[in-house]
Amino acid sequence: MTFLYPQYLWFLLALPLLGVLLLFSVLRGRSAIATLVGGYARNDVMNILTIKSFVVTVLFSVALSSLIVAIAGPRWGEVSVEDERRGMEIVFLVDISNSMLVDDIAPSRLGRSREVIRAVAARLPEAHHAIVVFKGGASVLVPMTDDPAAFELAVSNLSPALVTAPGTELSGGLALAAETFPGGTPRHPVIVLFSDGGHEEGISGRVVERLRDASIPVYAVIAGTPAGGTIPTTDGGVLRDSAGDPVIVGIMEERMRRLAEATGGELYYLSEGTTGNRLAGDLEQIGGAGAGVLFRQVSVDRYHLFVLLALFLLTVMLLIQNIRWKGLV
Amino acid sequence: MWVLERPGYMLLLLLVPFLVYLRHFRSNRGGRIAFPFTFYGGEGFRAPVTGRSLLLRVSTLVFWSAVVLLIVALSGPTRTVRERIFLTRGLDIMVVLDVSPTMAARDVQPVNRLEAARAVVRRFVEQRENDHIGLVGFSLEAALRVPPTLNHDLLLDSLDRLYLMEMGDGTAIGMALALASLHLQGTEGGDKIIILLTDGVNNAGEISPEAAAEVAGSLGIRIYAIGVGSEGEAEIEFVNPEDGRTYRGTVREGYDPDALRRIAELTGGRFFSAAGGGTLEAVFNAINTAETAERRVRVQVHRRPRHQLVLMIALALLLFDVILRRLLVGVAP
Repeated sequence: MTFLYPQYLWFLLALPLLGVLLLFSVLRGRSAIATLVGGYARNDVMNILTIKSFVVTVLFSVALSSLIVAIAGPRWGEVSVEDERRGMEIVFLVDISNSMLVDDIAPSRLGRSREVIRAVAARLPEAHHAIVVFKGGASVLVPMTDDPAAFELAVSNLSPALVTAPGTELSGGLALAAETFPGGTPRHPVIVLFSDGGHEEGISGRVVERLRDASIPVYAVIAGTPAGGTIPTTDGGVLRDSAGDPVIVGIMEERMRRLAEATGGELYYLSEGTTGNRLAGDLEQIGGAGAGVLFRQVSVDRYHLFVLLALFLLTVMLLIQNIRWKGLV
Repeated sequence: MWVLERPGYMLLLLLVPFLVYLRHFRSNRGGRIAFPFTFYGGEGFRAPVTGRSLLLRVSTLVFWSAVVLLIVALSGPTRTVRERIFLTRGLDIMVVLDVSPTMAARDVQPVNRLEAARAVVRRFVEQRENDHIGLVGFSLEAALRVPPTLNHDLLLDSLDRLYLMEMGDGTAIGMALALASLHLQGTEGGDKIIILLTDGVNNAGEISPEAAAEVAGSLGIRIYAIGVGSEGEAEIEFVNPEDGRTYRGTVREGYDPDALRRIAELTGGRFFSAAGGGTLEAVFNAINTAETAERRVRVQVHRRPRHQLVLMIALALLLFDVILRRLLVGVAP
């Protein structure tokens, strides 16, 4: 079983707190009954209250748990659906922040990204390509086109100077990349992201949701090594912090991994020599080059089973609440 | 448009009145104490409306709303969006637009030649939904503004940002045509055309318009050459982007109709003369009618499930109910 929105499962941790609060209300109820009937309060009345409260609390808690699981989007099993799309539209979303100039991958993170982009585009000549760059802001360097001359020109011009706003704002880049697909074509939309993951802001959940809604997978390529390296400056030195020490930039792959997983994409490491080939191979499979009729496997959403369970438990809870227990216990 | 993926589950709503009866109206259901006091021959006690009783009523409403929402979520509320998918490729078109200073001549309504050209190109692009369209601007030099693309919003945005003299003072028609041909050369489209809009004669660049037209012709690209502006003198007024000063003057020379006709004929295209805004519009209408491609369209329905939001609201309501009923009011289960 997998979950589309696993982050919602954290809400399950709040349920014990709810249980404690309900237990407190039971104790308060017992005390109220004792106050009402005083010395006549019989043990069986108290027992009924306690057992009823326990059963109702368990049923209610399980119902809520079931709802939380339903919200998290449980999926299992796969079905084949005919894929009516053919060909591909690829937006290369490239981080052009200064950290991409680090040379822990030869010739540099940005330089190696450029080579992989060219290799992938050459392997997929039928695909249409676009390039979106981002730093503190995002910009469309070349819109979706099959003009190889314009694409090559844009790839050659990739540099941090293209966007002046400092920073690394990936959400803006992703949102702009999603808008770069013109729509109205039977092609598969795909975003290939090149970044070292050093984004100041987290990735907006709304943007991820939008990508998922539009079935746009993000194939994330981590640019850099865990050891990292220094950022070269225009005067031939390296960037230093306020204490005068060189700034070492590593990689932060967790966000990139989550983004790829959440959108149905894959994660790659630019430091691996086979990345270009693997990426192109995976993209070729999506595009379905040479295939007549394509089928793709789609996970089956099973949230409704958990909602049904929750409704059943709530109904049982109502029945238990409204059955006279006197004489049964 | 909204649809339900599993509408059969909505029948569960029929059970709700029964459950409401069971919980709130069935007599002898326990959980409450009956007071057998009544006035003689009169009515019994009526519980006064207090804050607690109001909270209980709110809580009841909240609980049953949550149950209804759960049933709705179970039915799979889904938003559908229809998208028109073009199964055939349209034309590949490059619009080559002169932005030399003379395009500021005010002999073409509504403002000047450039604005008139911009307006008709905009309307033309809006009608060519399935065509890959690009834009080249030129004057002393030529530059690709947008490669052939279906992203017409970006194209129109770039068209709006073209300004007079942004590429110097001159008219490099040959360079512009060569650049447009270069960017049409590698595209997949079967039919490729260049629409050239100019008001001058070629006086810059290292490629002659005829040579560029021959190259375009050899690549199977047709050129529609449009001469913009009236014969005779015309007033011009424009702001030089280099010094920010406004220049006014008179234009005496216009385009060379013979040269433009030759360019068009070399490629199997056509030459048009557009002396006014209306004529320019008519020219584009003629091109629009002449250059058509077969269109096969499929409607694709995208489904966007929206049950998650409904479930979240239901969950929040259930929690709200239990907090009100059990913790605030202190109702026993």
